[in-house]
Amino acid sequence: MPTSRLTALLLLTPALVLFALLTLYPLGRGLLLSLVNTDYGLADAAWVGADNYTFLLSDPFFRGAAWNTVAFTLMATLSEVAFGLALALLVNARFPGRWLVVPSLVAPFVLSTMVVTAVWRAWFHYDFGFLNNALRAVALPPVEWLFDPDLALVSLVLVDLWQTAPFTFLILLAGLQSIPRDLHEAAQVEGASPVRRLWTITLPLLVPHLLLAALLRSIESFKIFDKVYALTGGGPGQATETLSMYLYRLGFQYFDIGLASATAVVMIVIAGLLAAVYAWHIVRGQSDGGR
Amino acid sequence: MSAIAVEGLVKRWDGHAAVDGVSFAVPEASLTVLLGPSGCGKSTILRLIAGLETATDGTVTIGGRDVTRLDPAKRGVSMVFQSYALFPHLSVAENILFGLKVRRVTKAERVRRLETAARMVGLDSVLERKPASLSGGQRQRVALARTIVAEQPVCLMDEPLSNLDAKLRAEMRDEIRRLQRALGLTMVYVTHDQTEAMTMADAVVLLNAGRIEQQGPPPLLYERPATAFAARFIGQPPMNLLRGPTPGTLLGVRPEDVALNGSGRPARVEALDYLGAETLLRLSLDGEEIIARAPGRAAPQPGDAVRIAWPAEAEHHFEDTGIRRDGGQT
Repeated sequence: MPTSRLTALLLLTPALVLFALLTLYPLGRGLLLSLVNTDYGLADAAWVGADNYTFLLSDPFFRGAAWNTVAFTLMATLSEVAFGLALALLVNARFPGRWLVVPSLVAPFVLSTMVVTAVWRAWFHYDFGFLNNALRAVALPPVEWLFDPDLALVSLVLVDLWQTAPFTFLILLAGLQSIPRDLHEAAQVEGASPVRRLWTITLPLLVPHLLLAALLRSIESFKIFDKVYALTGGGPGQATETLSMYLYRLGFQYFDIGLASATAVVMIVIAGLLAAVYAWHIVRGQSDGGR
Repeated sequence: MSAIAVEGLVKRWDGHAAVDGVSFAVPEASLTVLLGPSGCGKSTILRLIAGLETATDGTVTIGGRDVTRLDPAKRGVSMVFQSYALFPHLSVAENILFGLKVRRVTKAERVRRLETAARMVGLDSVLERKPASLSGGQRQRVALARTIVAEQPVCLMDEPLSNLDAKLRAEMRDEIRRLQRALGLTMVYVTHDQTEAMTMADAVVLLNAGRIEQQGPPPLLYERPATAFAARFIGQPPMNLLRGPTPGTLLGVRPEDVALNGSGRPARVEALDYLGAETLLRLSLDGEEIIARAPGRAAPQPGDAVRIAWPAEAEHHFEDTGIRRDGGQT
């Protein structure tokens, strides 16, 4: 047995080295940087202890960014799970040609974010954009999608929804297809209507998949950066500045590496908590046979 | 009035007929078994009676009412699935009462029926448990209890015992038959197991490739098989089928009718299957295999030459198309 343990360890070494270099070291260094005042490295850094964290808590910009991040995460996650569920229920019903529908529904998910944002910037355009044209066509006033402070964050949610609903759709479709047909038929013979079957059988049995989709999406949308950077740059004003945008501004525009690192640590703790919920859910699922 | 009548039933999928013109009747408060090998269409017929499939042609009548196009919920049937189809997220009690809640049966009535059903099938102590923590036999009982509380006149069972071990299967066979009689249910029971068919059925409908080979009470199928298929399918070991006395015919003899003490035709013992109460002798007769059933431990050994004979009235004659020659009832 010692030999096989040694072999296992040897085989794991490259992965462990990479993990240490690319994950553990930056994590530790980031934690260290969050406790100093510096505009670059640790060389001429001044130790400030928890000062960076106390500053963050008092900074209205940080609180605004935190609020935007939470709002974005909630709106994006809920809408993506709800929309993915609706699509999955639709496709799970048997209709001819449904396997042609699936690839077209999944298409937005395979596009790169830069392509997605380019498409949506065009659609959001006030004068020529598809969305405002659609509004005008039904005699509604056009909208400043990205420049109205009350709307800009919702517009970003729309883009995220469009791009990632296919992901929740696929998870939930797999979940729906894992529910034995017998259960529906038994309920049908017992007299349960389709709506009743949805509420008493489909949704309760889909809970593990709904939870999985929601957790994966919330972890992902919590760190939203690319769409904000490409579409609004955090504006108008600070209306769409999320924590990762705030961090980017502090670290790479003001070169306050200490504060930026403290922000990163706060984000890691929150994302870590979400991931822990996910991990706990997976482990629990394995221990009681999936249910 | 809960008698079932199936008339000219056809179910086609992509041009292939899974059920191909099937007609039979199930008298009220009786148990009819649909028997046949896998793929013979027996489950499809049951699902057509339940309304889970739509018939391509033909009619299904329950209690004199044409239900061919009716919603499953409105046919007055309950159903037990091979998988039992228990809802994994609901407790045993909730599983049993699911249909009653859907049908808005009052709380007091639900409690009454649950108590009766749980007592009948012996589930009193596990009502709060989830199906995953039950044994196979207990799950089967939950499915039965669901049928009992439904108080529907017709009960449809799709291979309900195939997931149980042999001992439990024998037990549940008796239990289902007892329930069917006690509640006066009109039952259609699908199985591929001839033992279940022979022991439980008032009438057997034997199916092959979507058509009926023979129907009637179990003794009729055993004693006067209408086709060579029926002769081979029912009986363990199956009936011996040999070349007939005239070309183009088959001669059938049940193994228990083949006697060793005769001064009959010479045969050689190829192998013995000792089963305790009896021994099956696999013999070679003019180049054909024939099985004889002898009580206890048989004296001959492999390689021995023996003489075998059977009474003329034990012979069954078939055309080589499989049809019985002396006008077997189909």
